[in-house]
Amino acid sequence: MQLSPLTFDSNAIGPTTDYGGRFEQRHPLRRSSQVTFTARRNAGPMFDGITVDGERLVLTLSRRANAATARATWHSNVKKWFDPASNRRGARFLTLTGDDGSTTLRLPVYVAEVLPRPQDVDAYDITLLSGLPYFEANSEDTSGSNPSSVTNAGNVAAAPVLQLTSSTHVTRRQCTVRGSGAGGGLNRRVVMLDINDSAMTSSNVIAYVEGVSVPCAVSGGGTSSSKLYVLIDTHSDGATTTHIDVVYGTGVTNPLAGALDVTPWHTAAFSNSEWRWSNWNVSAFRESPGVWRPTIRGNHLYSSTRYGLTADGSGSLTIGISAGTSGADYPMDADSVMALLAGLANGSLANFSRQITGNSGGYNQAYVRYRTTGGRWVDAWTSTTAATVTTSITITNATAIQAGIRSNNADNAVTAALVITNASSYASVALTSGSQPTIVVGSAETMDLYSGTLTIGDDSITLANVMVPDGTLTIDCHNRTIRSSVSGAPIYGAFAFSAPATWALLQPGSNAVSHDLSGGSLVVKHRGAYS
Amino acid sequence: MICRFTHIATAVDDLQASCTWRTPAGGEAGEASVFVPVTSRAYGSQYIDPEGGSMLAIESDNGGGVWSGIVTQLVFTDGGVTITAHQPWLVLGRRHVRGNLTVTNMPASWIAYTALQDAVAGLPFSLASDPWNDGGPIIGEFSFSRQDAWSIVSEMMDAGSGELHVDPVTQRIEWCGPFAFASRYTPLLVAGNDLRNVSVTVDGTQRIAEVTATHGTDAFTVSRGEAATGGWKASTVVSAPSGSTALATKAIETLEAVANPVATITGGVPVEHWGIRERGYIRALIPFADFDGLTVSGRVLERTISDASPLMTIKAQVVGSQNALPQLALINRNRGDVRTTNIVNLSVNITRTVEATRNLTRDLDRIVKELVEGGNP
Repeated sequence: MQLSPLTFDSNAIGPTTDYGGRFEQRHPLRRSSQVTFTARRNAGPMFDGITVDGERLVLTLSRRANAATARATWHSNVKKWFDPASNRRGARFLTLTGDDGSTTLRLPVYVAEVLPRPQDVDAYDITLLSGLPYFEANSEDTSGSNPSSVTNAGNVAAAPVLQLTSSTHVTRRQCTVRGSGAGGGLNRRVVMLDINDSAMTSSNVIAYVEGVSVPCAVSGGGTSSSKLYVLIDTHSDGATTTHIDVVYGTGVTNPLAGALDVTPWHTAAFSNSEWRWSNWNVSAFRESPGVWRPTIRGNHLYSSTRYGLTADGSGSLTIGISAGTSGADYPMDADSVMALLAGLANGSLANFSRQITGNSGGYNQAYVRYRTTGGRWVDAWTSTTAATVTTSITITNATAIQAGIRSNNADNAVTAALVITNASSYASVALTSGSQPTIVVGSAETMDLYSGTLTIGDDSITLANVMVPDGTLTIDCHNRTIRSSVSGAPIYGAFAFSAPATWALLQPGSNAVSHDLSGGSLVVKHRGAYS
Repeated sequence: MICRFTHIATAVDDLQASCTWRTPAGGEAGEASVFVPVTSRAYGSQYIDPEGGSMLAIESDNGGGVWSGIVTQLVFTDGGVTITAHQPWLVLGRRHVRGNLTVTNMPASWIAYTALQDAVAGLPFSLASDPWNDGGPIIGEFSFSRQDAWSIVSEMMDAGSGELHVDPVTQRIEWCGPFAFASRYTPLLVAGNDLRNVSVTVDGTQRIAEVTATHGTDAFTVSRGEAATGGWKASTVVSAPSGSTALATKAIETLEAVANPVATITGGVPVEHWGIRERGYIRALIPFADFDGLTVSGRVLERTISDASPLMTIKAQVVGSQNALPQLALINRNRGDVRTTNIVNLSVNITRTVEATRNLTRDLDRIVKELVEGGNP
């Protein structure tokens, strides 16, 4: 290619200017690559890969004899314009004309060295480096919306910039949760988010905790009182927020929607400060506040002991203790269940019917006790009488609560059991956390939804559940970036490329362009590529 | 980068340094290396204790943050001294807790707190003032018997989703869930531009096909029947509280937690992405990974900054993906903690019972049926 420089960094350096720019090499920009092979015994070499290298070209500047620019100024400008230290600002552009002498091309370059010619006081050889193995048209072509084809006027493949917008929208609610005061960091705590939007159903929602899609569940889906449940952690400083992005709407699919098991929860009565369950069979989140878990310690020799919580949904729990043969069998509690409570829980443990059965001689004692922060266990209720008790139990600043049965006369212990039932329609732990977390549900924001395939010439890019705040999504196939026009916006969803190494290329000539993004609009930008 | 030594307040900015931040959940302390030439004003005992133990802080340029740790090794040569330092929680492995204390039915977080309370006295840590009661599973019985603090903390991290976090600037120790105090990094990191020299490692050797939960002489085994584990039929044994429910639950939860291979992304990010922090979450697009491309969330386990490189190297564990679910959904330490994976063809073997649990077979059948059908006890 016969090239003639025009400008560098917008400074005129052409052959007819005082700077007399020219390329003395016939082919100043070689297009070269490293192709590697592996030799194989008794077979031809095997192709391993190809690496396209950056290239260098040498630009020569010489001051014309009748130059209007003073010699000192001329030298100063050359050194100023081509200062290698300015590479820190990024690539600079050299413009030039190509074969036809009229098409303006450009090349992003870095300055490697500025070398004065030893035999000529007014000439420099300037070595430029470029990572682009071809010249690109100085003017960018921008297609109309949803073009059926795009033409690359050059003679080598060009990487386009794809700009997408969408009229298919979904809703994002930016939610935050702060811990329950200093020292009250929450660990896998269930929180309920009052979305209250009929557009959210049980299946069309994704919950991102700090950008990670997590299992979630919906109650009241499709109604104006819809609620979303997720597990979150918070920092113990009580101030740092944990971020939850809730995205929902028609077209959103999520295998993790409904993956959070809320079946045992009494969702009608659930709140972020109380924990209520429809039966004892709570299994999904054993670390969550208010979930009863077995804390059996052994020596549970009672034949009818249920090892853990009943699972028939009857709302009763039986834990027991058996007769032993010596005191060593009963060093501590026999069987018990325990629940951790977030923050400092206060209130009444209601609907908690305790019935002691057996216990001939009253040697075994049933109990309900609680523990404060770092404190010892405090008995809130004990009994050795075989009877049913339904009085409420007062709990104060509790971080854990336990119900169980223990022997208080080991040598003569006899069988006994504690049966706990829910006296009302659901088993309730109606304790209110004295320092519940602060939950903020953000207002509705519009997000663009992209699901479908872009076809650019021979290549395709598939977008699955790609969601970004309303704006323009730019897929730059040359720089290999994907950006939203909205500053700081997350880009959710997945991308897949038929040509992972090159993304999409416009071959010389006409290239068919299409997409099947519902409500999507595509604009293709490119610069013709020349070698 | 600027280095500060505890021996003197003056900062030194003419040293070659590299430093690696790691999250304690990974089990390995991050380290730093600084070369102090004999010509440097910092070459002297007024800056550096020749016996080690100095605190060292390294301030990164370009918003990379502050690294701090304890000098653990000095190598003197005729050109200068190479200093190696480690993040301060390394010393927890050499600090021992009280003995003769057995606690029952306490949360894992409380046990970790108590161990650290014993261990950090006199050390440059600040411990949160309140015991941590909200985190972790209930530990049926635990004995403090002068173990090193790290072994206890590590055991408690293994037991649940809580983990140790040490603020690199304030040295404040926290016990928190993996999403607490773990900021998201919103730009999508695309391999090739945002994320350089990318490699994705999928390690299938940590997948387990069979788990046996034991308590005393009781044992409960569950195994994975589907072909997902191929020829890799690894097994493991875990301890559990007593009772058939507890044994079954522990075995199945463990099996679920090790269902998927551990995948990690390693790469370098240019300075515009140096706001990424360890324990934080990134989203990355690796077009060539997993054959069909991978758009994933990752948890940053470690990052490295060096004067010798314009890139910050990060290593992130894949914790979730949108296009290949069910995948890793939540994380537990440095391993995927899968809460949603379906166990196919679950089989149960009762390998041993004690006579006292004479109804165990019946109960186990019921429990397994409930677990498989979703009605977990």
